[in-house]
Amino acid sequence: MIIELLEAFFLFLTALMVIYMIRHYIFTVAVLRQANKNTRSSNLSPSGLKPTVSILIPACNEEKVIGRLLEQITNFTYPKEKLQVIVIDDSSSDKTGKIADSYKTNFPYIQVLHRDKSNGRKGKASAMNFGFARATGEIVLCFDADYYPQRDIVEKLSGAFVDPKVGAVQGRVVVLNEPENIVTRLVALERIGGYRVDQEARDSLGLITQFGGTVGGFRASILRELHGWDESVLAEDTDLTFRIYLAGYKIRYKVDAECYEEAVNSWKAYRQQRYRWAKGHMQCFFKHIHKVLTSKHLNLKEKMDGLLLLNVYFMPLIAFLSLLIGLPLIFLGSPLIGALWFSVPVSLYSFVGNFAPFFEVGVGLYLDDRERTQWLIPLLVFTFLYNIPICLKALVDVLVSKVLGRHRYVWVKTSHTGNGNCYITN
Amino acid sequence: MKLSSLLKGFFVVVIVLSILSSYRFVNLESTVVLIVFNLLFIGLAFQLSGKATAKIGLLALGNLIGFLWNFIFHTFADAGVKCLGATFNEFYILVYPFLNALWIVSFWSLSLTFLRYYRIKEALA
Repeated sequence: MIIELLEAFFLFLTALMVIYMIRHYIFTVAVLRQANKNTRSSNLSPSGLKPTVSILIPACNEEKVIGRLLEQITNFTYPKEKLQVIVIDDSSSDKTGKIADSYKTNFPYIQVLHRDKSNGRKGKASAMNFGFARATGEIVLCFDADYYPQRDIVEKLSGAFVDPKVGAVQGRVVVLNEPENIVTRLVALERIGGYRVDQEARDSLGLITQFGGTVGGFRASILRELHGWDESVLAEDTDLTFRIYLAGYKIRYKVDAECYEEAVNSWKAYRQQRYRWAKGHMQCFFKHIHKVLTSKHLNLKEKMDGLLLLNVYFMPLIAFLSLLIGLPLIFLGSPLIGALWFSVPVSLYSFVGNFAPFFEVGVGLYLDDRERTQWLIPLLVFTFLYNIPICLKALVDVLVSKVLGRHRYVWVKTSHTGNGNCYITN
Repeated sequence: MKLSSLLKGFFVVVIVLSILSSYRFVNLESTVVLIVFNLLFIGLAFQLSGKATAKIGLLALGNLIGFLWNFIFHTFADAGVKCLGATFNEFYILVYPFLNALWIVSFWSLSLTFLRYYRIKEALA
């Protein structure tokens, strides 16, 4: 009886992973077909539409990178009279505020809001809401302080809002400090899988395009309608993604609107960042799962994709669980495991690909014309293994918080070293 | 033209023989692995730049490597079972998917590197 139950559970977990593998396979094929046709979703080309734009930059102790971003913003090709830049100095203890203030003096469209210790450091969502309250633009774009956008990124992103059904837009994140070490290289692979293939496929297939929290923006009226960012959720970007879709709007992805980020460069920073993402994503799962399944604004394929997207940070745990169940089944002599029929696709998806399977990352690299980087793909197995304890801890913490009724979370900020500066050539 | 057709035919034969041999000389699991590999490779790599002959050649090479890889490890597992007992077989079952992922991912990575040169060539032309 126990064996049968374990087998049934094992089959269920396996089926789940096979579904994910098929999903990513469809994504990869879709992007390849798109590339072959040479008609990307970036056909949302700059339309001549020039709305007023507010750019929000939350910054807490970002002295090493904030100047780089502000300097690049002063070089933006977008008409400055239609631009409002709001730096939210979130109670920084370093020179972030002073550096931003120096730009405010020379460029009148740059504003700096200083939050003191009494109301600052409550997380990114809180800082964004603080800045958003002062935003006057029709479109609100967000950039993290460690990002380095293209000069014409505002035109590229705001062009998507020609369609009145579009509530938000997302641009592409590219790792700036990729050659720094093995961590940054592996993060770059994950980003390529996510942004070069996943996001573009979701956009072209009419699924749930995810707003990534930065390098993107919203129609300000919709953001007001939704009462801004939810400060009780750690993954405020994923939360907003679903709130936008549930309100009946779409998010478009612009693969050609590139922005360069300084990726985490140590396993510790990686762990902290992924823990925050995993926990936030799991919060969103519990918050939105029912709404997604019952929404009248989402069609069946959006509901299915939404469900899979919300579930994504459970995948390392599910793969691990299937191993745990598989192990006793082997020793109990289960014929199911002996056949290995099911563990093959599971291992293909999970053990190498983590959140994006190996073939997806490979195609992303190929489309990006990357040389030899493909050779690092087998190493993604380490990030997968590393994500198991991270996601497990996140799940335990979310469940404990739910049981104890705690709804406030501590925001552990990713620190930026400015090491990416040396890779900027223009 | 004729040479490329002959080559294609030869590669297809290698693919078929590898799959059949894996069933005959290794086990059913290795055949499933090769079929999964072929499905993934055909669906994706054949949409990339490059001559069809080169892609079928790569696929044939992949199948050959897959067959040999599985054959070697299967033989190794047999030897292990004889020396260390049936427990070794359970250990082998456990690591089997990882072992296969190893050659599939590595081969995929190298194939992309190879096919990238065609992409560059096409772009330059």
